[in-house]
Amino acid sequence: MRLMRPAPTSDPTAFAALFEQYKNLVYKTAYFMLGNAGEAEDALQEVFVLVHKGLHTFDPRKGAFTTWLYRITVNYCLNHRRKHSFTDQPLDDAAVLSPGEPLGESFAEEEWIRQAISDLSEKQRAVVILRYYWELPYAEISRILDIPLGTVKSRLDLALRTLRRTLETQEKELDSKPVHKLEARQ
Amino acid sequence: MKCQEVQKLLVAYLDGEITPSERKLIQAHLAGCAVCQQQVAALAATSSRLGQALLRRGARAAPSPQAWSRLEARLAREAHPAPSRLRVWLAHLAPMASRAFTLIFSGGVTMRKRLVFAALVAVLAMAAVGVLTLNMATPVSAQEILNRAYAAQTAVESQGIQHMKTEFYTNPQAMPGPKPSSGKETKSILESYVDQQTGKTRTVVTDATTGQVISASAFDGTYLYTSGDLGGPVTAFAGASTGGMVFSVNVGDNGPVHTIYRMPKPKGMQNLAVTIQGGPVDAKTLYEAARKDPTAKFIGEQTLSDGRKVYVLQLQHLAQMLQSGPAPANSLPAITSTLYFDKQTYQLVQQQDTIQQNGKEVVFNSIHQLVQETLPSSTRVAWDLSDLKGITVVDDPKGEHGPKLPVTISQQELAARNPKAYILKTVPEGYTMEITAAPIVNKQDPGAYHITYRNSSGDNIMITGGGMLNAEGPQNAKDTYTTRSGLKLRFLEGAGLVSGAPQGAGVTGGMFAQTTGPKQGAPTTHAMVQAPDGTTFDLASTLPRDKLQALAEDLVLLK
Repeated sequence: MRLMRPAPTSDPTAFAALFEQYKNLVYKTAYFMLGNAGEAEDALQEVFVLVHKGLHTFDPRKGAFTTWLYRITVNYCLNHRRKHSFTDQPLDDAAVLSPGEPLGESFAEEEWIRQAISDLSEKQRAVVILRYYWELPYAEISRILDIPLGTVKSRLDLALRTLRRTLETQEKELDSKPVHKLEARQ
Repeated sequence: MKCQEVQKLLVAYLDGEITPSERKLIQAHLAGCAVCQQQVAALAATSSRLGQALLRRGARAAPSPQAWSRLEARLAREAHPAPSRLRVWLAHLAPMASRAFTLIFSGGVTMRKRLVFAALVAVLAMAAVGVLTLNMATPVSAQEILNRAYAAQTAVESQGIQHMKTEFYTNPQAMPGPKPSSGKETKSILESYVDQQTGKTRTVVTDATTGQVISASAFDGTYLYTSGDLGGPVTAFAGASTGGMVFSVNVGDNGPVHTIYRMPKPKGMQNLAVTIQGGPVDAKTLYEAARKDPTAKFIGEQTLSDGRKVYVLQLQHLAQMLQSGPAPANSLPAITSTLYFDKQTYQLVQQQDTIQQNGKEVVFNSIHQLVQETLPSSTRVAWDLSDLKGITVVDDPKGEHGPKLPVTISQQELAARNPKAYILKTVPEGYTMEITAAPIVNKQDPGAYHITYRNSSGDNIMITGGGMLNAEGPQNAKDTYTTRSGLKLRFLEGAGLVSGAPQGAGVTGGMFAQTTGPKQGAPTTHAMVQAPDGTTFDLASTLPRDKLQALAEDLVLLK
């Protein structure tokens, strides 16, 4: 992603352009973190309000704008969950299927994955999203979350092993379920 | 390298996040270790499946097309911060609703006040009668729900008879502020019928536990029916965020009703059919305020016990005692309102208000909509309340038990009842002055008054003071002006919200009654004024801000 020096907040057109460029970054991160499209929509608003307020404090010499933006987004999501202390919920079915899209194998696969992600701790979920969705290098994740590189490694290691176990359990459960034959009713 | 060391690095190895020397060591170990080979294969499969699933799901997740316009509006609001939540709420209501409050808060209403207020709340629920069936593919944000609920409620049907049944729960002991001595928790059911075309109305409130009628009022086209006076102190408060929701008023115990007074339509109460339409305007104003509330949060979806699916939203409010005398600045407990909107129709079907007490959330008020429907105009309704059992209808030809509408009073009378009233030193040229106030019921709480200046071209200047308007002092004021005499004016946004609202709408138990007075233009400029001694009042006018500001220089304490 091209790094861009953000425009001053006093210029509404420039801020609109900034929003347009980075709305997906914020929205999708929040969507995966909070597991809900409505919450992600609210997070998008709140994060950009924080950006608008704090843009003058952003110093490009200290790091990329996206690092700063990811950090605000992840912190907002962590705080939001803490404050609202809602029980972990799997990602909702928001925008799950496009019209006409078949409920195929890829859908079942996604269902497994979403269950598995919801079982992770919030901190693990954050590193997983940054690494396996946004494909960020470990060093960047370490800067965003302000944690040592070693912690990024250990969190990802733990998260991936947890996911692997969850997926294996799910597969076993599925295999052990008896197959019911559907009988035609009169 | 041992298995244990290798396994710790396998995820980083797969991600290409290890040093070249580590890579060599791991590769050498893997070549001779079947266990680690198996592990690395399994982790690689998991990582790949995870990445693909996230990509597919992420590709479909996208912000709503309205995201920028919402943000833009929010930023504009924050650039010009609301003066104070309560005051904006008042500004939204005043002057239209403040007249209604004149009736309620001055004790001039011949209805059980708690229920009068409940009726006001009920109208808010009733106003959401429009059916807007929007099946959505995706869950929406708090603001979208409020926007759609707003759209639904503005589509109020004018045909047929609106029938509504709502359950109210109030726990006065949990309410903010001084506790009423006799207030105990109550559950009542308010059932109302309104025929918009004929102006007929009927509102009956029963105690949900005993089933006894505790309040009734009706208008059958000829006569007005009411269950009579009720004195006693008023403990009222309102929750307010940037906009607001009205909660509840408690006046202590309400016994069962045995007598209903029948009287001719009081003078000054104009065609009810017209003025009832003022109801939804009130509600619309309140709803509009809620809709713009930045504290609104989407909590999630729930299924109610009756199977209805609802969206749950939460709003944070500050409570403010609405009573005589300046309230201490720190007397603003936080209130959480949870609102339940029908997922299909966006009707507000439930509301629950809680307050923090000793670290626990205590419910002090809840509203539960049981029925909301539009019946055919031909439906038979006992508009004269003749179906109520154990109740005697008594003729009251003089309307002694009827609504005490505001009356015109002199300057001397105003000075006697409200010693801190402000008035323009001289009546502006071309204008006439009228002072109105509800008859005094409680001397300690004389209630609100209105001083209205009007000219022949429809301009007006209105001063509303007393009673509820003693709110907390200005905070973070930006758009202010201080007169030479030290009166601080805080200009409020949103005065335009009340445009088109009927002036002088009063509430009498589910009925909106027009008070006397010629039709006026809606104010466009609105300011809350604070005097050096802490007295506050409200200034509204059709005149532009600079003219109102100049006129404010002439405001003096009435002697």
